[in-house]
Order: sequence, then C-alpha cells, then structure tokens
Amino acid sequence: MTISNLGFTLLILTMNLCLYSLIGSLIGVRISSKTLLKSAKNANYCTFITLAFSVSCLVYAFVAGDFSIKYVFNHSSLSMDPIYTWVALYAGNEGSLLYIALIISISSFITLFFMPSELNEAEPYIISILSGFLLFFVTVMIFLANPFDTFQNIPKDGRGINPLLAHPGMFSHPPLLMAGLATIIIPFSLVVGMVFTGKFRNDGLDYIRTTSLIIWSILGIGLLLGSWWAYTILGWGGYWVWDPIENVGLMPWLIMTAFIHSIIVQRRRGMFRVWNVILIFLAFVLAQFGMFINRGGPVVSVHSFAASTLGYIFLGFMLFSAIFCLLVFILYSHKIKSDNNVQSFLSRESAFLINNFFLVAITFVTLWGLIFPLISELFAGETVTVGAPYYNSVNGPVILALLFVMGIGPNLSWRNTSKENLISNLVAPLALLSISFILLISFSSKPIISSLSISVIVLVISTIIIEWSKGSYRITKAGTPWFISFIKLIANNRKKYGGYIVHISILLVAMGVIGINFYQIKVDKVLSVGEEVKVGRYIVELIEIDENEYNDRREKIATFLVKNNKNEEIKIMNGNNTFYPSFNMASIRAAIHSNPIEDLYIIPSDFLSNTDMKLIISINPLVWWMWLGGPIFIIGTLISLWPYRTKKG
Amino acid sequence: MSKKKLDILKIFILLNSFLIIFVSCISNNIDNNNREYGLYSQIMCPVCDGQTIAESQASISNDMKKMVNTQILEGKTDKEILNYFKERYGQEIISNPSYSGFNITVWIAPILIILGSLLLLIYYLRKNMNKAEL
Repeated sequence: MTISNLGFTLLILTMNLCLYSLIGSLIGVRISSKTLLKSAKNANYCTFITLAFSVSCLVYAFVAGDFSIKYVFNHSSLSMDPIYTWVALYAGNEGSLLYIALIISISSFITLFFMPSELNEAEPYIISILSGFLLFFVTVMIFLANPFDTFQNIPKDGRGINPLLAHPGMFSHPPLLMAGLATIIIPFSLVVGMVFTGKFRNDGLDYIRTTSLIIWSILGIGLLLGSWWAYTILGWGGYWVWDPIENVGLMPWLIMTAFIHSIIVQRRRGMFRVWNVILIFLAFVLAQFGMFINRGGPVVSVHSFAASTLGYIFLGFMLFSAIFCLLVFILYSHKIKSDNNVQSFLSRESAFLINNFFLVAITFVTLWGLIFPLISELFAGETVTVGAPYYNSVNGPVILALLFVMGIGPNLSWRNTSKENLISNLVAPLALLSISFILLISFSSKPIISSLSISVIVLVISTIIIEWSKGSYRITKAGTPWFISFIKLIANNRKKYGGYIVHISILLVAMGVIGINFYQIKVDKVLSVGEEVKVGRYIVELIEIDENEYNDRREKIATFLVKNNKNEEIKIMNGNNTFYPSFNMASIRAAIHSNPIEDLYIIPSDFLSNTDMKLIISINPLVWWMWLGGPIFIIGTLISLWPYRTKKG
Repeated sequence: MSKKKLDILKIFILLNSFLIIFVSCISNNIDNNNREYGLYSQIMCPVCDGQTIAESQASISNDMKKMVNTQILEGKTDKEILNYFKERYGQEIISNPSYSGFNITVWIAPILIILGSLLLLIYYLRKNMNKAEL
C-alpha cells in the first residue's frame, strides 16, 4: 500500500467516524441511550487518531519527496530549502484543509475531554455540531480537493514551494491563524448546545470563556505574527494594509474580542444573553466567510496561496451556517432572555456595551470596504479598488474611540457609579490626557489625530497604573513591600488584572501603529558601493553587494554598515533580493535595525549593477513596541486563564 | 497631604516624565516624507493582486513610478497625476474610490450607519433604564 493510499483511506475512515458520531449522538439523545452517546463521543475522539495519521502520511510524503502525489509535486521540490518541507503541508488548498481538519479534531478532543459536568445535557448537541463541521471538511477533501491525489507517471522533481511562503513566519503565522479561525466552532458549538437545552445560564459559562479566550489569543497572535512577517518583506506594503484576506482574519477576531468582554457581563449580571449568542454566531459565520474569500472568493488579494475553484462550496457552507444560526436564533432566543437591564450610562455594563458597539462597528466598516467593489460593480457597473486609505480614515477614529472607552471603562462601577467615585477615579487620567495633548500639540507638527491618539494611550495606561498602584497600596498597608503586593494583587484577581495586561499589549501595538503611520520618514536613494547616506539619526553605508546562485533561486545580498551621528559603528546588516526563476517571482527582505525608539528599515529594492543599487530607507518609530506586544499579550492571556485551585466540598 | 495622595502624586509625576521623554523622542524626527510615496501608494499595480506600485516589483510598476516622478518634475499636481493614470487604466487603478458619484457611498454609508445605530442604542438603553427603576 502506498503512502497516498494509506492517507486517503484514513480520510474515508474519518468521514465514516464523523457520520457515525453525528447521527449517533442525535439518535442517542432522542432515544436517551447512554451507550450510544458514549460510542458517538468515542467515534469523535477517534477522528483525532485517524487524522493525525493521515497528516503524518502527507508530511512524510513531503519530507521524503514523494512526487507521485500531486499536492507534494505542486508545493515542494528537491532544490528548495528542506526545512520548509515539514510545513509545506499547509502551503496550498488541499493540504491546508487537511491541517484544518486535524485542528478541528484535536480541539474537539480536548474540549470534550475537559467538558465540565454542567454541560452533560448539552454534550450530544455539541458532539454532533463538532462532528458535522469536521464532516464537511473531510467530505470536501475526499470528493473535491484530495490532498493524496496521484500521478500516473511519477515526475522526478516538484514545482517547489511558493517563494512568498519561504520565510520563518511560515512556521507560525499560517498554522496559528488557520487554527484560530477553524476552532471558533468550539465556543460556537458550546453556545448552541446550551441554547438547545434552554440553559444558556451561568453553568458552563466559564468553560465557554476559557475556550474562547484560548482561541481568541491564538488568533490574535496569528494576526500579529502575520503583521511581523509582512513587515519584514517588501510586497505586502508593511505590517497591515487591509488586504481582503487580512481583513477576513481580523473580523472574527474583533467579534471574538467583543464576545469575551460581553460574556463577563453575562457572568456577572445575567445580562446580554441574546447579544452574546448573536456575537458568537456572527464570529462563526464570519470565519466561514473568511474560508470562502480565501479559497476562491471574488476579491483579489496578495494572499493567493490557497485560491481554488471551490469558492462556491465554501460560499454554500457559509450560507448554510448563516441559515442554521438564524433558525436557532428564531426558535430559541425567547428562552435566553436576560435577567437585568443596564441601569445607568455610567456603569461598567454600559462601558462594555459601548466597547462591543465599537468593535462591531470596526468589523462592519471593514466588511463594507471588503465587499464594496462588488456592490459598485453590481449597482454602478464600475470596478473600483478600496485600499488602505479608506480603512485608515474610517476605522481610525472608531478605533480611537474604542481605546478611549478602554481607558474610561475600568473606572466605572457595576450598576451605577457615584459622582464622587467618578470624579476621584477620572481626574488624574483625564488630566494626564489633557497635559499630553497640549504638550504634543505644541511640540509636534503632526496632524492633531496623532497627538490625540497618543494622549488616549496615555489615558489608558495611566488608568491601569493608577488602578494597580491603588490595589497594591491596599496590600502594602499590611507591611508587604510594594513589589510583592503588586504580584499578590495580580495573583488574587487574575481574570481582571490579566485582562489589564492584555490591554497594555494592545496599547503597545497601537503605539507601533501610531509611530509608523504618523512619524515615519522615508527616502529613496541610489547608492554605489562605498557611498553613504544620512537618514534621521543614522548614516548608512553600502559596503558590499554579493550574489549567490542556488538550484532554485538567485540571491543578491546587500551589506550595509550603519553608523550613528558621531560616525560610530552601530551594526552591519544585510538585505536580500531573491529571484525564483521557476515562479518568475522575487522576494525582497528588508534589513532592519530595531530599537525601542525606532527601526532603521532598509529595502534593497533594485540591484542596478554589480556596484549600484536602489534603496528605500525608512525610519519607523516605535515599531519595536508592537512586537513586544505579542509576548505581553500571551502573558496577560495566560494570567487571565490560570485556574484557581478548586475549592470543592 | 496624606500618604496615599502623596503616592498617587509621585506616580503622576513619574508618568508625566515618561511622557515628556516619549514626546521628545518622536518629535525629534524631521518630516521629509516625499511626495512620490504618497502617490505611489495611491496607485494600484495593474498586473498584481492587491498591491500598490509602492510595494510591487513588477516591471510595469517600476515604469509607472518613473512616470510619476517625471510628472512631478513637470510640475503637475497630485490630482493631475492621478487623473492621468485614471484615464488610462480606469477607476480601479486608484487605491481609493473617488469622492463623487455612487462611490461616495463607500465613505458615507458606514458613518451614517454607525451614528444611526449609536443613537438607536442610546434610545434603547434609556427606555430600558426607566423600566429598571420601577
């Protein structure tokens, strides 16, 4: 039996397991047969095993260079860097579907394994939704996009991986992003299961929160890593250009962000139940929308790796999901009415609501820009492009408003905030906001919006620091030193303070965005070897141009010597321009010198001769902080998720 | 002044000094952003998927960049240069829909919808708040 046969057989086995698990759990709940339910659950567990083996088959085929498999032929070659054969699995449509299927089965396994007993009643529905979702992907692979499809005549060598994917980011960004989008099914299935049993109450809500937070952070880190990847390469236009595929990854994340906030309100006050159901439905449908756009949607994007002719299948599945959600909502929403109403505008509840509102607004603006070319074509018969300037100018102010709420919200109390509290909490942060705004306006010649954004960041940071110091101060009264009290404060209320740490990471990202959007310097220069150019605080000298030939690519490397104002050497760095003849594609990697104040960013855009080249040099302030945001985001999420020792009995 | 207030004051001063350092760091940068880039990033590359000519390395993009540079030297305004490309390649060559005709809806619709729904939300909250007080 060849490896391709084995892999495909395992897929067919998976499909049967999914079918059995789907039908078994539905019948099991109808005839209330515990054995059948148990067996359906076990069938779902087994998909993890069959898919793990199936994926191993494909990875093995890649690493071993088995070009009898079409997918391996199309996405690898003997001459490519062998390290990428390990991840070429998800470099194209078929293989990434297989990867997604594996992720769904792993996450289903973990979810079902740790399921708390409060959710027992809902479990059969959850299993059937998870199995049904997996069934869709496996069926698509078996009938329409078989990753194990083979050739009659075995070619000697493959076409190689798409040059744009040969980057260290390939190991982290695509798998995390795909995993994050695919696993939105987990909180979705939990919520639907609970809604079906008419018990979308506090039982099990913690479990939904935990799974959502994990998925949300995976998706968030995936997005940030994508930003970093795009930043290091010319051709993506920088860390974020509102490319359609970037947008379809961002939108579910935004809605999930709203969800993990508003679920706190449901937990705390029994409110927003219906709203939370809407949010998770929206996140799920948007994730399916992303699948559709990514795999054969009607809009052009720089991400064309997974493009296929299967667009209509994913469109169909998205419509099916949307109708399913709508039906569930119509039939069951009366069972999930909230216990309370918002009592005052000056309450934590209303701050959460406004936060949700802005997040949904950003999502809407993004979606509107994404589909507008289609609308314009349909109604005005004109093809238009909606590029970054639209998103920046419409989303920018909404994001700023969202950050502002992030600064005000934590100062408000649940239910209602008394005037005295309001004043004592807000005076210092608002004073800081005004001071920084005045300072910035007078010192900087930049647009007012940039000064305003920085001032809002100051507001949010000061709110958090004041809250931290107040809390730690209470603990120091018992004689504990400041530092220990601070740790204690965070350890005692991990959910809340972990959340604040995540807020700080978002602010760091915002700082990078502000730095690059408003304070960037960019120059275009032709340099010969030995010449130097002064940019900002730096002097850049081109010291060498090298050329390397490989089997699959020609690499031109420019070496720069970077000096500071006083002519002291800081660093020697490389930028390269790699041309892949078989793809007729060049990949240009920037030379980056990064420090907390600014990045010196050099793109070797064109090699004119052996001694001359064209450079684009920019100074990108504060970008370093954006990447620091990543680890802090993870730390904050982990603190927030860290379980308390359970006190049972 | 109580100790608590004093501590808060210290933090306040600390934050402020951070702020001043921060502001002085970034306001140091002199703006010599050039006009070319502004224009490059408003013109799409006709043969690429979703790239502007600023990012694209396709030969046609490089030619178009040269054309932009020549026209700048000729003393044309940004608008004239963009129009030049629009006439040759159609509206879709410009990375932004124009502010006229049907295309204006791309800008106006989201703003109207966001403001409208914000008003609705406030109205809805008010209505329910009165109920809660009963």
